[in-house]
Amino acid sequence: MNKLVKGSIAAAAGITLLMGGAGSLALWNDSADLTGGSVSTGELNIISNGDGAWTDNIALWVPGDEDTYTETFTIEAAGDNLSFELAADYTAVGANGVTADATVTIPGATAVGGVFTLDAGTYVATVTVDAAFDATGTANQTVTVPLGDVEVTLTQVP
Amino acid sequence: MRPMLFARGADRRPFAPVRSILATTSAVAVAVLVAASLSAGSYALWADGVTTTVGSVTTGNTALSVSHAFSTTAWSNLLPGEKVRQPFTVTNSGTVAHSLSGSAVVAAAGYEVRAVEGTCPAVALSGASATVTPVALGTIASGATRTMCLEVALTAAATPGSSTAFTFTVAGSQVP
Repeated sequence: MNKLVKGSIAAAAGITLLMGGAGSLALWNDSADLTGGSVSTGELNIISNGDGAWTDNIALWVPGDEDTYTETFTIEAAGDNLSFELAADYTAVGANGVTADATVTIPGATAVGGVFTLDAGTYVATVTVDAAFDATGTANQTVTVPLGDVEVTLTQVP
Repeated sequence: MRPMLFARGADRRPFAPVRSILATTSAVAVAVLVAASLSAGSYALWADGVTTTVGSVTTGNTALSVSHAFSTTAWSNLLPGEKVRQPFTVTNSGTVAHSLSGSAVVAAAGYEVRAVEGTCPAVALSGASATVTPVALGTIASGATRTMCLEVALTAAATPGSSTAFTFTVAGSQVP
């Protein structure tokens, strides 16, 4: 046999051996999806239930007058692990015979050091500012004393 | 060359502790950072707030005024026992009601001053002289004007032929 024939036989044998070892090229495949769903967040907000009002709505105060300004707020707090603090900031007034201070009340809750610690839920907070005027003689007539702002803040705590 | 290399190596040996301290420090710092970032969780927390504007307090005022048109001739040439009355008005232009009282100061002896609410009656006023006891003149509402009557009486203690000035003060106190 000449070299060409021998080479062809050897090549054919080699290819055959290779094919036998490879087996079938088709393989099964499959996949499945995992639906992760969604994340829904809660809420923490405070809104006024309308402008506050004075109980007696005194236009011109005279010594001995007392009046209370009241405004209510609705607090919506939702979240499985939500806990938050409510604090009110007010600079008490004491000028020209006028004194005023603010208090916050939330039914069923007690403030510690002026701070309420609350869990998720719906609350109604009432902010009241008690003002009084006193003077003697002819002092402090026709003066206007600004009573400032009450700032109510909610802060989530870990 | 060799001795020089050896010499450099010998010089560097004392710095080895510094390098190990630096390495230890940086390793601790990295460990602290990793631990802090793992344990602290998120620093983001919800916060909300509202502001209530309370407004202001404006005080009122108190303002009493007295006006009169007294006739000097009516109070001239008085004789002991004679009593002459003249009207005057009190106006409250303040923002609150007041209770009034009157008191009189006369420089000379022998004079009595009395006052009463309302128009002057035909008969003499009774009671103690306002020079001794302040006389109550009722209450005047905010914005009201009231007529009062002032009476001057001469007693026997007065010096004949003399003239004297007197002051009648209407004082108001706020009614609670």
